[in-house]
Amino acid sequence: MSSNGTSTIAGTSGTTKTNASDVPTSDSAAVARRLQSELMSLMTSADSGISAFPDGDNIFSWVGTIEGAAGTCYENLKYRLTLSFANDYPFKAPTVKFETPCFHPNVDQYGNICLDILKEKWSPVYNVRTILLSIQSLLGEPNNDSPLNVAAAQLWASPEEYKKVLLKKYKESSP
Amino acid sequence: MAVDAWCLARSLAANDPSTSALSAKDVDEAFATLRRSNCSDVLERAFLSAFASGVGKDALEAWCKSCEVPATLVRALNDGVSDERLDAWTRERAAPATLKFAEIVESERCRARAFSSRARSENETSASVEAFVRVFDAEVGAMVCARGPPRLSAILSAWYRVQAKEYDRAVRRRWGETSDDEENDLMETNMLERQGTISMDIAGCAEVMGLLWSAATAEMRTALAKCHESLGRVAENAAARALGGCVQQHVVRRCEGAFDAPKLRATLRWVRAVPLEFFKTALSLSANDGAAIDSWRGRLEYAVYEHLGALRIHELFDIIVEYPDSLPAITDLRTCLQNTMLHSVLVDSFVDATRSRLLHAGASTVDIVQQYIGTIKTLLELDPSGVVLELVSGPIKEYLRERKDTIRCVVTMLTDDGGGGEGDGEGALYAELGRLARGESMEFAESSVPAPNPSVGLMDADNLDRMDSITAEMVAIAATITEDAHEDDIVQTQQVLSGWDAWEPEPVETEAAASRGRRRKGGDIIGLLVGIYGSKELFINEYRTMLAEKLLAKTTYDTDREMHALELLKLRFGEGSLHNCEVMLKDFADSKRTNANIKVQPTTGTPSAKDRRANDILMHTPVEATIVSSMFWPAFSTDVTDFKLPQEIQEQMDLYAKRYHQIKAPRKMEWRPALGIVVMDVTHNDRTFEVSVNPLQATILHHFQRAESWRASDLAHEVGVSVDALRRRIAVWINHGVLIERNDGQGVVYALTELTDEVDAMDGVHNDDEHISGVVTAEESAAAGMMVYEQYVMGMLTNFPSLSLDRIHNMLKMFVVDPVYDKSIEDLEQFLLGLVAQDKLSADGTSFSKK
Repeated sequence: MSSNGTSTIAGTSGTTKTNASDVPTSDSAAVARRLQSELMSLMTSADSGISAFPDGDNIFSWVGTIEGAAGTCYENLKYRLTLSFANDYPFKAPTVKFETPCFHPNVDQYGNICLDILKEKWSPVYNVRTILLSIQSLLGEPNNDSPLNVAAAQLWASPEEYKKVLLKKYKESSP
Repeated sequence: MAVDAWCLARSLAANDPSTSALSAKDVDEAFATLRRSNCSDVLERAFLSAFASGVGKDALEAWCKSCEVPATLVRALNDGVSDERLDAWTRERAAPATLKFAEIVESERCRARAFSSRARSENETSASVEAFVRVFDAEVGAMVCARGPPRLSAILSAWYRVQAKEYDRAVRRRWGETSDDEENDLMETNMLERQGTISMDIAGCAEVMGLLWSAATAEMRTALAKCHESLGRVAENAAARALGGCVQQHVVRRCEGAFDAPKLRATLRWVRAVPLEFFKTALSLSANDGAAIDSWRGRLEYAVYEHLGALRIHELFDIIVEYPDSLPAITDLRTCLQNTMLHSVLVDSFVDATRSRLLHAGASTVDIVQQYIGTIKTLLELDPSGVVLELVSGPIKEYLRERKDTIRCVVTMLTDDGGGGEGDGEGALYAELGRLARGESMEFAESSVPAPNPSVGLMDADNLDRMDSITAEMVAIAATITEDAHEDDIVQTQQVLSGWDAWEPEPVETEAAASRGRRRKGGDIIGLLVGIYGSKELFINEYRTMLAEKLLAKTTYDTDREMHALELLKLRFGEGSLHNCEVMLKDFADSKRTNANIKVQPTTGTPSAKDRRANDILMHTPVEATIVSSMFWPAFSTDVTDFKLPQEIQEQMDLYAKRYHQIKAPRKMEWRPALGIVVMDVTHNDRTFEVSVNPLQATILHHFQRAESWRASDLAHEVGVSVDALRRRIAVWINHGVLIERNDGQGVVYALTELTDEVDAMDGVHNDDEHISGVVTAEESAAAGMMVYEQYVMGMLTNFPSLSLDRIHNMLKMFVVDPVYDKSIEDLEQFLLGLVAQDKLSADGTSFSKK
């Protein structure tokens, strides 16, 4: 038996990638670059239940989607959000709102979210992915001490009824 | 008295038989009386009305009756085709009746003249008599026009056709041709081709057919012209029509389907020898009527160009199929096109023919490409400006773009030198490349426009084609010069002639093409083929893929042919674009050297020399490696990248790799066992045969040395591949009748065949692996390139319920930077439809959404 196998020698590997840290010409250009790379990491990370994409042709406003985590009342429910970034992002938190009406102790009727990392605890190390993951976990673990939706906070204690109301509201909102 | 005289004159006018009894004296007296009464005008009117209601009417009625076309012949007459009964009828009935009518009119005219001169007094001039004759002629004209035979022109034309046919036959008999004219006998053509000049052996009608016959032919028109000049014109037109028909018939009969000999010159000679001579006789043209003869010759020659051109255009598709044997026909057509305006007809007709005969699913791509090459060559001969080609090739190019294997096909034709001998077109392009390499420009015009060559006499056969296209005057000038035999003059004239004759105005279709930047240098067939896709990159990529396949499939290190082809391609496409391919071939050459180095005994003293065992194994190992620089090779793809080779082979390969590392440190070698070829002798059931298989297939069979039969799952586990991959690879052994596939109820079992087993599996299992090549085709890699964007598309569609293709394309363009999105919208559509097919997306008309 004679074999004429074929092998590969990788060429000189490690092409030195020149990550030129060029000075941003303007704030918005730098922000746009940061958002672009965030988009890429978000697309390649493949976290389940969270997703976001720039809305149309403006990279400063995104549309996000969160699915309720398994094992919570919000399982199988899908919520649409909007994220709008300012020119001083990431030094300032983006404005995140629920587009789909969300029955939740920390979400008001206009979709505003009460979440510490979006307010006083914001830090530039957070990014779209971490924001979305935080909101996803907030759905299952509300902070009932400072409710925006008092009715929801009161109902939280009885999961059965909470879920009934939640589903009813969800159905109303998504025909 | 006056009343008697009047009665007498009346009966004379009516040509009453009783008048013949009268004596000349009585008649003179009667007319004298009438003249005195000044009633000559009234007399003449009486004569005319007598003619119109009497003799003239009868004659006309008789003529019309004879010329009534029998119902059975109407069709033949309408179609203008020869028909024996029609011929006989015209000859025996219509023609004599016509002549008879003309005769009666003629004699009546004489009587009218005599009558008028009697009625007029002597002091009245003869002018008034002539005036009356003209009035008479007008009366005849009016009668014929109003009540003459309705189909006179067609009947006359049929008659002329009969005569011309007879004459044609006689001329050809005279030329030594004995066959009947219905048969396509090439002898006449040969005879014509042998003749040096056009004017040779042209004999007048009288000479060929005898005076009587030519007189009879001439008489028809003469008599009719005498009868009335409009009738003369009718006869003339009828003759022209008949001869036009004759020319067409001749062209079709002599030239249809015969592409391998020039026909135009012979046909033009025939036209001058037969129809033109006939014309001269029929219209009684004498040598003095030079202008008339020339104009008729022009008409007839134009008819030849037109009919032959139309015929060749109709046959163009077949002519191209037979290229280059059909070159004479192409040259003929070229001349015809120069003299007519048939370009647009050619474009339309050829595009139709191509659509219906070539551009359909039943034609193989190789055939289409070959026909396209033939088309390019042929049309550039026909029209060196390339306008016609551009118009015609549009649909072909469009169609070829839709075929997936076009590039592969063209590349194969470019690189195969036809050694396989599969048809003559194979390697046509390779030869073309070679021609380019030798620096020859593609001079298509060579054959049809000979370069001025002083040693060639002006009337040499080569030049005759062009001579024909020149006006008759020029022929005359040239002929005079030849006779004068001033060598210098000849050369000079010839240069002048070829100078202006070689220039060709662009065909009218230029208008259509002018807007697009044309004027590209014609003749670059490869350029045109590569241009099907608009860029050479696709071709080069495909070539690289095919080269990789070819190299990997080699069992020796011999790459002479590939090297040659590559050098030629480099000349065509430039060094830079083929750099990768060069590296591939260099890898191959290096591998040969490295392989030899590894297999020799290392020099004593080096560390590797101590390993005696390794040296022994390496010196005798059948393992040979092709060491490639992966950066420069196309991506390798196999569904199986790694599997367990048999222990002993693996050991040898490891040693090989180790020795490579020792020799070429710090480089290391990484085996790709899935690629490569194993040539092995298989001995089974007293049967030994040699096969070339891939290493995985060899490994699979190897395991049957240990056990007679394997459960599919066990074997797959043993080899380290999936059951599915195993099944596809194992098919080759089933086809060879070495293994047999059984199902024992718990799964598939493969076993060695017994002698008693009927080996009929040959046609049972399809060997999928034939088509699995180690290299990713350009198309596959394009799809792989799109895979990067799948997640983006999915991400998009998670957040937006549904998006249109445009929108997805734009968003990818805007937001995807690494890797930069540079695909066309068509690529994207293809990719998205692929995802739809994989059930990942759903498409709804124009927009896509997530499932």
